[in-house]
Amino acid sequence: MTTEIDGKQTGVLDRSRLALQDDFLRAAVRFTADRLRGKKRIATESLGNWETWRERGMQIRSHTVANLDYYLAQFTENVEAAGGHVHFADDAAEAAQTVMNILMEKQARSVVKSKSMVSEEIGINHLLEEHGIEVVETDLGEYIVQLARETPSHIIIPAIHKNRRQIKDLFTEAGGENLTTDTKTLTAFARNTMRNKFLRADVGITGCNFGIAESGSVVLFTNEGNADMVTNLPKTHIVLMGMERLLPAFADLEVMANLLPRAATGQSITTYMSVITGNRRRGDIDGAQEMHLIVLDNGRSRQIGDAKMQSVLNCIRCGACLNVCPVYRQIGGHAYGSVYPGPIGAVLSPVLNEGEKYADLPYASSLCGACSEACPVKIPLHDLLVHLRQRHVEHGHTKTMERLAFRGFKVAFSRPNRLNLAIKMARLGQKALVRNGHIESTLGPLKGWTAGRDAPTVAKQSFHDRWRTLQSELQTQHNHALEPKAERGGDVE
Amino acid sequence: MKRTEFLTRVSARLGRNGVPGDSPARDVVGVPEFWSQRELSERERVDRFRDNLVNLGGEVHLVSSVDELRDALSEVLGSLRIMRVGIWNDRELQELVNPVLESYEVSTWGIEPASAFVDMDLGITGAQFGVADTGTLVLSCGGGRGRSVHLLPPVHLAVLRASQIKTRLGEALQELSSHLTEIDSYVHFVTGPSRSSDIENDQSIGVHGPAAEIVIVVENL
Amino acid sequence: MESYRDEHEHEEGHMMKVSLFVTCLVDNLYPQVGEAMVRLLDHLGVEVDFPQAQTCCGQPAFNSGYVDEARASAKTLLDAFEDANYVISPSGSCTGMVHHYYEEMFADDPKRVRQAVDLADKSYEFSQFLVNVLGVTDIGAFFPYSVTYHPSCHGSRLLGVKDEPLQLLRNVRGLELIDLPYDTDCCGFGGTFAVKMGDISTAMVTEKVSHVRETGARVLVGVDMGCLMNIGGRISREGEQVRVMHLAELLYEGVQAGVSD
Ligand code: SF4
Repeated sequence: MTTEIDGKQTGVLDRSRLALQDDFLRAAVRFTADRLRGKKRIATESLGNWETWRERGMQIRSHTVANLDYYLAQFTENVEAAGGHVHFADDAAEAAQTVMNILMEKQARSVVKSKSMVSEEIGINHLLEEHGIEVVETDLGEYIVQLARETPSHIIIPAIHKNRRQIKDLFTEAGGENLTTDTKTLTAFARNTMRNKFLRADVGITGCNFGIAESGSVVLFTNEGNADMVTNLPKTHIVLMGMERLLPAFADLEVMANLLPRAATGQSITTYMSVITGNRRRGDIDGAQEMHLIVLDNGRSRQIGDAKMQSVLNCIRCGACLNVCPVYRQIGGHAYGSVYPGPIGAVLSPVLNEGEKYADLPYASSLCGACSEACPVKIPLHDLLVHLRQRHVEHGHTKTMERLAFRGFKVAFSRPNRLNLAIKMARLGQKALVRNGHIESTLGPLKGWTAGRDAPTVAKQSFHDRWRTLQSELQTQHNHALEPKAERGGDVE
Repeated sequence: MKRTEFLTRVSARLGRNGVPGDSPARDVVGVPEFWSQRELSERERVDRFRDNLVNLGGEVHLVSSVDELRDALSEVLGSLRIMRVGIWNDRELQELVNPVLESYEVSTWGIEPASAFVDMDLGITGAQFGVADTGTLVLSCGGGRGRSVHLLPPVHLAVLRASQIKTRLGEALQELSSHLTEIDSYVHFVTGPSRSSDIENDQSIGVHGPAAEIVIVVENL
Repeated sequence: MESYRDEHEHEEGHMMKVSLFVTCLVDNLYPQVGEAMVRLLDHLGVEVDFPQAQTCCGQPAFNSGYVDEARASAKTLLDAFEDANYVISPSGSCTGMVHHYYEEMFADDPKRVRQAVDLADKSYEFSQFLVNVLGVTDIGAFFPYSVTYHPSCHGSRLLGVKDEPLQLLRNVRGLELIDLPYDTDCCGFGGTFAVKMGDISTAMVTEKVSHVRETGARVLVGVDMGCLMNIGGRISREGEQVRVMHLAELLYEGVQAGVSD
């Protein structure tokens, strides 16, 4: 995470400046986002009634979150009944410690992982490396990001910002010989490297797309097949799950299986959907002998009961909101400086982490609503962003200048005559700045605007001022126009 | 206890004293009616299954007798120059295909050691269901139906009866739902070959899982 | 020019009356847009009234998190339009604000809630009113230029104004309508966002202008002056020769040309 530039704490705007200068990054993000948008459109159209499906998705997720205590109890009991071990973690540190404890007990030397945003959230890789445990990301994109010592810049396509030349260099450094930039060659290198890791690893760590309460099953949606190796080849399987990722029943999984892949990558279903219920049964020869489920809160339960924010827990982490976001499109994922980027990240990061660190993220949005429109479970993301800005104001965290400005707004805009006066003053004030009928000056409070755009000037006469004249002009025309009608005997006002 | 503390906190946020004893009332469950009420004939299901799987780069052979099944299998094995074959320890499946496998090096799950399956060229399995809507195979793994048989080799071949092909995913899920206590610890829904688009959104096949998915659908059996 | 009014008056038996919600931006920066609207509505036989007590929908404050400040300004609208039959604005964003947030914003005050619900029920964006209420899609305009249309986010997403402006444009004689690539992508305006996150906003509008340029159109038209101010400001900075117009301005100019034609 690049929350520091030259050792200084920075905000999303500073970080995005770096991104905005990176033409490759922006081209790569646009390219992939466009592909995904197009594929999503085709996939949702083929389903028909996409809106009805979204409505379903929203209803099912809302119901689950509104009864999360019940379903969480049912789910975890069923996991245990199927032979799994369940751990609860209040925060990231506790979850990471729980993982460590299991690894210590198993005397694990090497760990294979499949993509899991929760594992990023608890920063587990770092901790494992500190303890001298080898940890390998096995999803191709995650592996690339890991070799580059970076974090994912997209929740579905972690290496969206890397090109094939960079990837070839990374793979060469990792021991690849005679590699070309050809996708096939690069993929083959990853496959061969990973095979050995899978077979040797002591523990596999995965996330969890959905937990099915009625059965205690963990469901994973993947395309590469790495998650199935991670779950089945090592002796121990650890599942990291955000506490809200549940569905009441298998019937509901059918809805999500239709929504998630379409929204995420425009597929009608992912290549693999793996339903894992506890550990291997007596008589099974492969599959993990021990399964540990870690249920993470880390700020999630705080959103329950907040009428507005509760819906953020409906998120199924499909990434659709990133792909349509015009801000993400310009600045990419790292500029957000948080584990979760894009619109969902701008909502989730500040609520999962209290304090000032991510407080500026809700402002990194033009509130265009593309995210809300794309979201397969109808989370009103742009409303939540405004809601977070309101919280920020209520807690007195906004800048003094801004507060004064809006106090001025209140005074001026609560009475038309006051507004009139304010406008007159503005008209006077702008005089020094006007060139060729608009404002180009890049100084002053509007510099964010004028650095890249000309600004209009306040009109000589406002509409309020013009109204009387306009009205009487139209009236005269009417009277004029009505005369011939009177002859026809028309009765018009 | 941690669990109680954790759940109580959630209940409190939801405005109640503890986890409710009764399951919550629901007015909306599962897919919209227009989706579940569709009815397709077996012919339509088979065709849709094939079309969808082929679209994703899978291979589907429709056969209508045991002899045809064996011919198709032997053609596949021959054309791919397969030498080592892994197979589920499943009587019915084995009876269907064994005559073809005589000239191959065959490892049967549970008979040969699991480590042998790392080096198979092709894995043969049955499947519990097919799903027409998506071209999906449902593999419920346990006992003789080892997971590694279809996960590890570069080619996966499944034998499926036409009558096992359901219209939609939900029918297969319904089956799990109605046998909750007997659910295998691993049920794998497989749709086409393994793929990734992580390098410049350029799709590549056979990343970690099999690069080829071949299904022989047997009709009238 | 009388023909429309004649028809309309005969149908309705009396003139339809609407109130203009001019929006603060048009009021003070682009009054000619308000004027074009009034003249067009008048041309269609609709009587327009302009309650003077209105200021602003409150969106600049609301979107920045200042609800109390937004409320102060929103109240002027609730009062100004208390007796109106229809409230027509040149902005999908401002009308969208009324539709989606007023009721909730005044939730603590039953009287204001009633006013808010009532106002939302009778509020329309300009093109929405023409097409869906008046049933007018061909306004008899002539405008012999190539035009591309930018659908503003709030108008199209919050308020659902999607096809109305296009229907009106398609019926303008002489007008060549060219699709704008990535039309639904935000132009980067977003109110205070454009100032607060100026660099990001500029990158967004630069991409938008590059798409406008790709169309080769002489005119960019829209139904929201916030977005047009933003795109127009960038067009002007880049020295592009594209005319930026509100739909009402274009139609009014076209009607005048249509009459003399
Ligand atoms: S907020 Fe919605 S669109 Fe964004 S990741 Fe979550 S589910 Fe997907």
